[in-house]
Amino acid sequence: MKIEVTVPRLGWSMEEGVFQGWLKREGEWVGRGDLLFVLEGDKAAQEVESLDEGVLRLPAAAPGEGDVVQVGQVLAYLEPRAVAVGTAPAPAPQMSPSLAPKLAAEIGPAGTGPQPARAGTAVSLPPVVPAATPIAAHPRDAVDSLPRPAVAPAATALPGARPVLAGSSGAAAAGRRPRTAPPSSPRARRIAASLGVDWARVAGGGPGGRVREQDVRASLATAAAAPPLEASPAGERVPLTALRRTIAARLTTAAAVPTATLTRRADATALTALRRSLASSTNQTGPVPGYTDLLVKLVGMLLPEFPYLNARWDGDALLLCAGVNIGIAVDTDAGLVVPVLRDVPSRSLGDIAAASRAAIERARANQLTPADCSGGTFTITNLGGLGVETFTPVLNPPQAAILGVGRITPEAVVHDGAVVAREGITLSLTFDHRVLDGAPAARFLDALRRAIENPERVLN
Amino acid sequence: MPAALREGSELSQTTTAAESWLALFDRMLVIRLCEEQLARSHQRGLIHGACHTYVGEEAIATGVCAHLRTDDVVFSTHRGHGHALAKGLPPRELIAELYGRETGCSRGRGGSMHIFAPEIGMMGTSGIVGPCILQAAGAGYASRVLGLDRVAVAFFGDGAVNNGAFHEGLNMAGLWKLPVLFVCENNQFATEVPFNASAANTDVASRGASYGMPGLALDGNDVLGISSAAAEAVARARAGEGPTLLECRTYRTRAHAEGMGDFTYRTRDEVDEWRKRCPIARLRERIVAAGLATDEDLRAREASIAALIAEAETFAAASRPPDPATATTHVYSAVPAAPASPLRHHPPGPGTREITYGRATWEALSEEMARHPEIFVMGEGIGVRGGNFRTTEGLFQKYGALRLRDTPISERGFVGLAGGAAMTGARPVVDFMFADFIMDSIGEVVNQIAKMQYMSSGRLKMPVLLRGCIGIGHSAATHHSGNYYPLYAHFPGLRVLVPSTPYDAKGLMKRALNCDDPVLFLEHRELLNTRGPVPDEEYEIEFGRAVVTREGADLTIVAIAQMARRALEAAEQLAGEGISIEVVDPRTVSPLDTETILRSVHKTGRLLVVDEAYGPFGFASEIAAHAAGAAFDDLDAPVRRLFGAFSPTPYSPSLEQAVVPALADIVQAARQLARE
Ligand SMILES: Cc1ncc(C[n+]2csc(CCOP(=O)(O)OP(=O)(O)O)c2C)c(N)n1
Ligand SMILES: [Mg+2]
Repeated sequence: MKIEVTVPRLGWSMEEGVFQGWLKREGEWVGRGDLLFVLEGDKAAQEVESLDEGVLRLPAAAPGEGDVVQVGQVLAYLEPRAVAVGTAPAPAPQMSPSLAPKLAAEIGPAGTGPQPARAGTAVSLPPVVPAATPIAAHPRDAVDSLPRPAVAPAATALPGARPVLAGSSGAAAAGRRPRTAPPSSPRARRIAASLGVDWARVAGGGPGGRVREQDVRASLATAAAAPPLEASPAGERVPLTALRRTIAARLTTAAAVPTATLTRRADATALTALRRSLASSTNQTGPVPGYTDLLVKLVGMLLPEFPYLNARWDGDALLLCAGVNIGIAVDTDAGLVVPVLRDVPSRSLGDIAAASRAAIERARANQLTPADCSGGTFTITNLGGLGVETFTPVLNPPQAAILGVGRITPEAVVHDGAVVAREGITLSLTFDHRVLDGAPAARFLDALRRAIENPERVLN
Repeated sequence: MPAALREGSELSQTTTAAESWLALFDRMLVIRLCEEQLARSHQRGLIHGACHTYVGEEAIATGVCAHLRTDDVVFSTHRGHGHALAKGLPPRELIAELYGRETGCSRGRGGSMHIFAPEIGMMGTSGIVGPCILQAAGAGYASRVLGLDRVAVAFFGDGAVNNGAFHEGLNMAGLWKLPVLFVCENNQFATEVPFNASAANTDVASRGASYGMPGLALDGNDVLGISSAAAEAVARARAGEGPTLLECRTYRTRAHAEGMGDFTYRTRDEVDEWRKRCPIARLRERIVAAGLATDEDLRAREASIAALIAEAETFAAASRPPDPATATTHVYSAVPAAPASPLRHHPPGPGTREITYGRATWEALSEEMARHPEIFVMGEGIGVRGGNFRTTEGLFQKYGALRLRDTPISERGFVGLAGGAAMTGARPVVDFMFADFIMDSIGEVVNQIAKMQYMSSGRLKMPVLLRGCIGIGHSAATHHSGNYYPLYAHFPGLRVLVPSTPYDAKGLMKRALNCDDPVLFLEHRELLNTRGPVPDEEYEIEFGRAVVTREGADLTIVAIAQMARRALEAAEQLAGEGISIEVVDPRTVSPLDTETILRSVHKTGRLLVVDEAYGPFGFASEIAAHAAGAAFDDLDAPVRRLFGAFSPTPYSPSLEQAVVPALADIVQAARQLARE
């Protein structure tokens, strides 16, 4: 009896994913617990382990790299080596919904277009489609026409950066309903296509949130009333990746949360001095902590005193989280991801710096697992490195707060009646106004200001 | 080759006894040798379907057909090769048909049990026992309506004489003195059941008395005896003296069908005994004894007939199979009959006179009866009385009993008769009062009338109009209220018209009376007294043309008959709520104008189908399926159906109302769907 190898659900909301490649070859023996293939779910690619054993048999119609696959879809078969008696069918891989990782939703700096694969990825990638190739007209065709690697990638290597073309977008652009999108009527989809509207983003007014023709037209009317976003209908349509779609969905959820943003200037002279001294320190073993690491540590030390900022809106209650796990927003070629640094208060600055460096590398190599991104209680997003001084972070639900960190700039400050040169930094705190009010948020921000101005305790 | 044996030749014009005996001998031999060839071919797998041979019974077809003209018509059974050959079918066309070739007499559409050669009066063999009796009666009726001295013959087995078709057919033929020969080939078995095990009165000939006609018992293996009896019967029929029943007692000496076992129900000895009474051997002795020919002469004739059959087989085997692309041609008449009046499709404007639905169909019938002398009407109480629903009021006085024929309560009988009449040039209208009664004749409608044009590869026409009331209301209860259109629309070959307005009713009935296809004209009883505009001038409405009875933007309702009217009321009511409804009335269920429906759905994005008939496999389901398939990208909400409760129709008004979609139901469903 051959056993079906099916597409598992990675995280609770995934209905389809992008197949990234086999880790075993046709005819190769697969043992229980062996890593069998790589699948990109809603947020990250994951190596999927086999729960059964057998010889791998790939059907002619087996998906290739970049193909969109549906949860439950049969990918291949495992055949017994010899005719085994009473082989039970494989239990479907399961994942507890409560473990489902959440993904940050925040608009990072625009990173568009294919970028070269980063160093450290050990896989032969399909050639990137030349820039002139129209990408979106027939995404399925485009994907199918990609040359596939002649041999399945060996061992555990993972594909790294992918061209935006790769796959998961096929469904939406072709008018097919991605499972994560709202229900929609065929007519609504047809009309949306003719009007150039992305129906998956239209708020449906029908039963069960079904998007209907009138909803599509209404969304267009709203868009028309708003300041013109883009004048030109001509241009390249870039299909949505699973990650981009998740980000969009998360942002849409966030937009429904009543938030407020407080902005506060802090004196960062001491902080910059501290960082300089750490950088020049001779007994430094790990990586030099960056400003983000310093802020993670400072915030982590403060949060136990401000439980409402380390909290969640949990339907009919507020959940004051037991641990402090801080997510850091990382920009990658594929889009924004938020790996989580766990149990920050108990960790040293050096430990945090090492962990964050590792997380960023894994993120940029597209190696984050859903678990890496789940369980955050607070998020920090730092655009200072990109020169941004002040911005409004978007909440990462269900977390109650997110801290935006701007660039540190020299400034002239009146100090004891004299003008002196100092370093300044702007902190922006966006918080869920249902969870806490403005004053406690302001008190947190002020406490953070004081901590930044007296940063030495991060070394404790 | 003997002079009389040119293919397709007639035997009836022989003058001298010598010529006529030799002609009978030749014809019987053609049948025998052809059947033996077919048995051989069957064994070799060259015949794809059933094959019932006529071996041992050749004298009957030969003796009877010797007295028929080409324009006389023969209706036959499953054991019909001999009838076809005796009527003049060339053996090559018979063999080719059984081989399934395009040169076969039915162009490969029929095989052994559907042998058609209407050009020589061979009106078909049949896979159903019985209908040929009614069709022959119908052909006889058509002869009278058309004023022809043409004679019809039904050949049938002993198995058919216990069938209703026999009793109903003979009764009507005797009653109306129709020019028909009813020839029973009593071979003593129906398949394997002995006749005395299935008939209370085994004297078939005696049954003629029950139906007012002479009944003769004949030796079925004596061709000369049969020939002389047939000569008399044909002469009587031609002279207008009515039908005759001939019971020819005989025996088939091969199995019921090729490939079947033969000795579970009869013995070899019995079969051998009957072989000794071979009709061909008997005639041969008579010819030699009378000095009309020598044994040697006859052997020479035999050799040339054998050569003819061999050549026929070669021809059949060399013929091509029919082109698969033609598999569905001839379901309906290929060239639709031209309308007699201009075709119109949209109701007239204001200022037009208003008449009732009932009057509109009466006008249609009356105008077309004046135009076509071939039209005659049959039904119970449609003569002097003018019809239960005044459908034929005053027409009897104008056209007389032959064209306004009151019938016995023999629905199966007169529908089968109508089919035979339509096959032979008349244009029958059957008025049922209530369409429920058509169910008693369903086999004739579905197996004969609907399939005849196809089986005859388009060489026969089937202009039969079957009309009756449908619909729930007035506590008619369950035997006077059925809605049967989904059933009829399921079958290829029928046209099913269900008009909802006087205008549509008149135009469609006039079209039906001018076309060559069988039509079910179903009139909702609750509509008969409704009034509407109908122009004075004549017009016809083409089948398969829906009408948009109200334009709207938000929702399409498709409905027919009474529900088409109710849908309009619902649309009017909902207009007050700002919901704009488009109402489409297909008017004909088969053919169904899906194009107009889909166009409307394209416009509105929402479809509600309202129907009074049952839901499963029904009108609403069919339209919903079309929309879900062809209008998928137009649908802004799922298709909804409203239909009658899955129950017989109850009597009490409170129960009756509960099984039909009410105005409030339609309003509610449409409102919900529009807002969904
Ligand atoms: C209405 C109907 N019922 C049953 C059959 C199946 N059937 C085919 S031939 C046959 C026997 C007919 O016997 P008979 O009429 O005596 O003709 P024979 O075969 O003896 O020539 C039967 C029952 C049929 N074709 N039609
Ligand atoms: Mg019989």
